[in-house]
Amino acid sequence: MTATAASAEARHWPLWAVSAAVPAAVIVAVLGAAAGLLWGSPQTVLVALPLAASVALTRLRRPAPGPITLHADVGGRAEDSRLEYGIEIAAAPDVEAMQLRLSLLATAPSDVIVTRAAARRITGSLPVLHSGPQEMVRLASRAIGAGGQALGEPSPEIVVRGSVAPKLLPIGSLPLPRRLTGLTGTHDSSRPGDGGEFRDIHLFAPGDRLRRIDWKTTARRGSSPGDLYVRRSNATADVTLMLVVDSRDDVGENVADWSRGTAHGKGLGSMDIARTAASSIAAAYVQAGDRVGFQDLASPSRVIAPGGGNRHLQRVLRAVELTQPSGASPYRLRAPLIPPGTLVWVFSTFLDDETARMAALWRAAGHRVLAVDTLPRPNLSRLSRQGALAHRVVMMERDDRMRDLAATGVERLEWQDSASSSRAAALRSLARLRGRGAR
Amino acid sequence: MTTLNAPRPAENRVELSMAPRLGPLLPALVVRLAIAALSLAVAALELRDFWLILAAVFALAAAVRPRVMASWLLIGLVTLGTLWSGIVGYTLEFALVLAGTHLLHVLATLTLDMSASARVQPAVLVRPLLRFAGLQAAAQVLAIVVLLLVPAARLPYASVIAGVALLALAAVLAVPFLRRQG
Repeated sequence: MTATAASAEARHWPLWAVSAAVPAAVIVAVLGAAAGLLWGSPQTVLVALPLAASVALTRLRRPAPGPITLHADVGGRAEDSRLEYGIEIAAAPDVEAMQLRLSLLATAPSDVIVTRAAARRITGSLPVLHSGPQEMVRLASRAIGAGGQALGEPSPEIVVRGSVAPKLLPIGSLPLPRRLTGLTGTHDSSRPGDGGEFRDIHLFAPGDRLRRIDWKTTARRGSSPGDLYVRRSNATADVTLMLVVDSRDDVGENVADWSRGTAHGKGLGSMDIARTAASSIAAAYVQAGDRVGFQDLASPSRVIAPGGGNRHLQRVLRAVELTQPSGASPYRLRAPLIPPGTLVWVFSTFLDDETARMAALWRAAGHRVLAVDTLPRPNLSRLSRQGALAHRVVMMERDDRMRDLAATGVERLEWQDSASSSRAAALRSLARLRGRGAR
Repeated sequence: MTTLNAPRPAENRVELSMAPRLGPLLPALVVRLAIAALSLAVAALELRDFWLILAAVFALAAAVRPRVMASWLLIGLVTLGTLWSGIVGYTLEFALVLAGTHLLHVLATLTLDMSASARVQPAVLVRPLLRFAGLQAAAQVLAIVVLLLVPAARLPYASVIAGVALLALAAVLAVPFLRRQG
């Protein structure tokens, strides 16, 4: 698993402020000295003395103004599903310690107070919980001088955002559209031509190549001297497919976290499934010589026209990797235009009508549409009674929607099955279905 | 092959598994509890009855909400407590009070702007504690000289001299601070 290496840096000149402890200590010391003076008690004066001396020492050792540089980076290659991160802070020698406010993978920030020497290079590793763009490190710092009696101004926050490429899973069987319109490729079409499997024996016709004449059949079946029989074969064709990813929402397996959507609390997310599925399918088709396009349903501008080849595949994979919930929910009057004869793969949770409506429109236009259900298996723990009831209602509506979709001829594939064998079986079944009525 | 489709059981313990590699860290809560314990111990050396209860309230406040500056209220209470505690001369109790109030100031200063959930690298405490040790050694020596070597008849004079010096020192420190605040 790889991630885009990312880094961020900030440099600032903090203003130093005196901690509230200093005036408090001065007041106590003055009170003690005054009381000792009035009552003639040397003990009282002596107890107040270290406080005053401590504050005096602070003023003598007041940190000089100097720049503080913050740098954070996240490595590009995941080892054992973890990404290495590093934090580097360069500060003046007067700085005794650094208070770091660190938020990793968008979790709640936590404070760590370290020495200046330790802050020069801090490392750690992040678990790769999700694919796609994500906030990895958010860091702010504050310099501490003279045992906490001098405090630097907080630094500006730096944020390292990276992107994790989804894992490509092997796809054994490739479903094909009802009609193959490509002129060359690796799939058998129903058109007569060259390159494919045996089709039939037919009387020689103008245009047939002489090397296709089957002399044995001609000798056996020829009824008149001019009869010649040729062996005809099917032409091969490539497939054009469009990957349509519904990125309007990203819900995790933990239903209790649906309203918050935290990176660490939601578990496996629907966009994780969508990215893995879309990338794996794109790679498998392009490796088979087919043409793949991409469409983000939430953004009309994120479209890649169908194309083939390794460079185009990298383009599509990058587009899929960068797909993330945008919060936009545009209502489309018409479905996005898709070239005729295209196989449409729709990746969605189908939690609302919009994607199902688009899929039905494409199916009505004659495309073969495969709906990949990206909703993770729900985990209902920590869900309130009302939440469980609401989830049940949403699921019932979704079941009705999926039934209606199936009635329009849209085929469904559940991707979230963790067992790859059941997914492979479902794909085999979908690949076989094309045989009936293929043209 | 590990895939994103197979959620790992450790996902619920994300925070623990991605902490920076800094070796053992001390929870700020431990330092706060240490402040509370130290406050009670110092107060118990010379305060009694109502004043001890008041000191306990300050100790609790210092541990729960350091920003209310209860540590310095307690230091002030203990400092003034030396007036009527009946400690005469340089005793073990006095030496402990002298060191305890100072240590309380050092620890309370460190934790003043530290959240309860923060974690502290133990090495952060080394330099303040070294400074504490140096100052404390000097303070103890001075206390021995003043309380044991100066004749008792001259102690009021000594306290006047020390008090005036301390007030002058405090004024030198406070004036720039007040000017900047203004």
